[in-house]
Amino acid sequence: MEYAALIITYFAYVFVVVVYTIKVRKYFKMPQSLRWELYPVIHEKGYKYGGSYLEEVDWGKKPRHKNVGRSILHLVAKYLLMGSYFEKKRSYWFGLYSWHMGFILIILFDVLIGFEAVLMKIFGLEVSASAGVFGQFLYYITLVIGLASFTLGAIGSILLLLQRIFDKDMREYATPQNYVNYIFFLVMFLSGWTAWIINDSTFHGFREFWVGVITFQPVHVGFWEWLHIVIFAAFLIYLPLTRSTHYITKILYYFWIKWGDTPNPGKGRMEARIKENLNYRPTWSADHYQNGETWAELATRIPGKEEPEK
Amino acid sequence: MAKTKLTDISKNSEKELLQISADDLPPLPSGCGGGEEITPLSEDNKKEWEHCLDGISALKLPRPQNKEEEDKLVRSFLEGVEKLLTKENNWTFLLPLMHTLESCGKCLACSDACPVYEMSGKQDIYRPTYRAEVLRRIVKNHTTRGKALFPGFSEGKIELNWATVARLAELSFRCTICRRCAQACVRGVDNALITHELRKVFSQQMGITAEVLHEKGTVQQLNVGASTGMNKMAFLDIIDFLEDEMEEKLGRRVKMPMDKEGADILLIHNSGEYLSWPLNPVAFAIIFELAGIDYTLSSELGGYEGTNYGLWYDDLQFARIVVQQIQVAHKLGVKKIVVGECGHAHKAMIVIADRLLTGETIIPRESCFPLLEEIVFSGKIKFDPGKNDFPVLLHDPCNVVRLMGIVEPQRRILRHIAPQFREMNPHGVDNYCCGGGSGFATMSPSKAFTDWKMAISGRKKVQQILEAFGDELGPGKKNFVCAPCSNCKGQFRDLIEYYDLEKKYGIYYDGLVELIVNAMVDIKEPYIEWGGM
Repeated sequence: MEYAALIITYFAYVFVVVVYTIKVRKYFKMPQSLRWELYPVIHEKGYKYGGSYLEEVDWGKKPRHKNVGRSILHLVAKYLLMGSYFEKKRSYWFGLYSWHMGFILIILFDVLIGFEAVLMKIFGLEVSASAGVFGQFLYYITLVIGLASFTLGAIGSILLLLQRIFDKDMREYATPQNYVNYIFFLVMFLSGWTAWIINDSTFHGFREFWVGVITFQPVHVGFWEWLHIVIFAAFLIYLPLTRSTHYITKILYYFWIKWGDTPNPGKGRMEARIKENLNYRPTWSADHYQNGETWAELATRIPGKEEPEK
Repeated sequence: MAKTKLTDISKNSEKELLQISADDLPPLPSGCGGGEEITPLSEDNKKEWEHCLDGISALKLPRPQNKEEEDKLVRSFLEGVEKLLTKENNWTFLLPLMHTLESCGKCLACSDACPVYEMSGKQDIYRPTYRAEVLRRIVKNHTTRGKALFPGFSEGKIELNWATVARLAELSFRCTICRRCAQACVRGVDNALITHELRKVFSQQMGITAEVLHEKGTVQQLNVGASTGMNKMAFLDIIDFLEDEMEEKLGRRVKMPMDKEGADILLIHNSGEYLSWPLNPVAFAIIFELAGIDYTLSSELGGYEGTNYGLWYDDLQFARIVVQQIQVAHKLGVKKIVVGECGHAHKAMIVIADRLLTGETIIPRESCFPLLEEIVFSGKIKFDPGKNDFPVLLHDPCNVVRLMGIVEPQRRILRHIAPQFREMNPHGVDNYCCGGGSGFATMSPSKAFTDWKMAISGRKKVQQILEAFGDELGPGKKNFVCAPCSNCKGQFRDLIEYYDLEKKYGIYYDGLVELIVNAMVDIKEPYIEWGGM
């Protein structure tokens, strides 16, 4: 049983990293898109009302204002507060916010436990209610984050499940996976609660387990704690198979597309990527496409005229 | 109201999914309208064209004669969807498309942002997510490249047959691509892009699109010079005529410089302005002349037409028009192109075209609004705002504002020259489309479609206008909607006629430059022609 938990944990972490990397790499390998920005663009000077550099005469000759830091903060706030849902669909926000906070906190909980295990193993740090200041701090913060995650995640799962069942519009768009997600994640959060109540009110067993993960040594933990460890690993394996990639691709989409207002300088990497695009040979079948020619050739030839225009 | 399910799209192509009734439509303020019924297609048209979506035909899509023909069209559609997922065929929008296909949380938060959905009485098929979800299911269930591991589990099923394809074709012409839904989506899912991409599959793969956009639109523009069918000789005749007419009206001759090599600016208007709103290009000529701007118009193929309908349905046609316009600018040796009051020409030429151009083909392309602002505040022209002392409401063309971030220059001008300037609610980047976006303003393939764009897609804008003017409304009053975009003006012209807004409420419309010239001290007679706009 101890070995099973250890092996599935190793597998889960390798799997989640590999699959996300493959999925996100696909986006990095995509060709340079045409511009398709949508205002407000947060790095722009006039972002408060949605203004852009295109509001200026001869903008190409002037230095560009671009506050990337503001964009990053804006995105972080979006992730943490989900304010747009609060404004646009409040009934959904309550469940969704709890749910997402449950995810963020459970991953933070896992990271903290792992971090504490490292400190325990390497520096002999004690993490408990009676330890030194730092050890106590870690103990209590982990306790709060863990319990908050189990609570919020469970509440969110239940609220979203109920909303999908009783809101007839949302039910129409729901897929079987939506329901499986809510139930599976509810079980995961509840297993955390159960482990805390029955097996380990200090989460020390989790720390010991992670010392074992670091040292490749199986560690015995209580059954409910073991069950939560296995379910959490299964959650990590399942996660990349859901739409969760949007957590990462959304960042790329915001910077490359929605806020992607960088003008074409006519040189450098963008120029090279555009030239590469123009050399692709489309295979569309409509009459106004002539197969075999590149985009550049097609764009400079008007059907009916003999020679491409220079 | 019965719910329309996603899977209903594949059912029985003989039956319409929706029949819109005037009773479903939300009432308008100030007692406007009521009883806006959609004229049904004639029995002959019904036999000839597909109408199984909502009884309306935007595409005049011929009905297949037999099952073999249906199957062939379905196969062609699916091939097109496959191509949409490849970089060779769709490098232009592959990244945002894939993000949209992969990331929707199906929360439906975008629905309320859509004026078509809202003003149809919240009909399910007009939700921004409806067509997107159908396409997503097709990709995940039926394509090779995009197929999901367990599509029935992760995406839900959908049957792909002729009914699905025919309804999707029409459904791609029930969205104005205003992208308000995309703005509402936290994850960055862009359902308006799905409309765009669907239109591309139909045009680029199957040769199916609205005639006015393709044959009479981009094809005509590339071959004749303008989507209006105006050739070089006709254009030059119109310019002569306008110069003569304006001399009579203004008591002075305003020259519209033509094909002047080495000018600072090549000014390109939507050619529809010369035919339908000639005061607009003349107003530009007056302003530029008085401000001492070194500019030229062009009579070359591609030089006097700013429109680019390719933006709405076909990447290649889009690129061809861009190339033609840019070539004219290089041939004249101008320093930059300035786009007149046409929203989609702005977006097409300044933004979307940007990453089609390479090296020396790149030429600066700018909006007219910052330049007009610079002129108005330069002190070179004297204004008497009292000449514009009537309620003025600014409409924000989606392409200029939400999609380009050009928000304030036109407002600063209006605050300076129109003492009763006011805003709609919401406005700026949160504005509502006029209902004529993505080509609708030029499309009148059937009375049914015209009724639809008046009664539904333009309804929200009418509501906004009536609410914004409020107590000012009434017969004989003068309320001015400033619509600095040719397509929006086309839609306003039709909305005003359809709802009798001029006669009942004293609502008129025109562009920004007309108001600027109307406020000029040097122009003695009123420039704006109230009535019959």
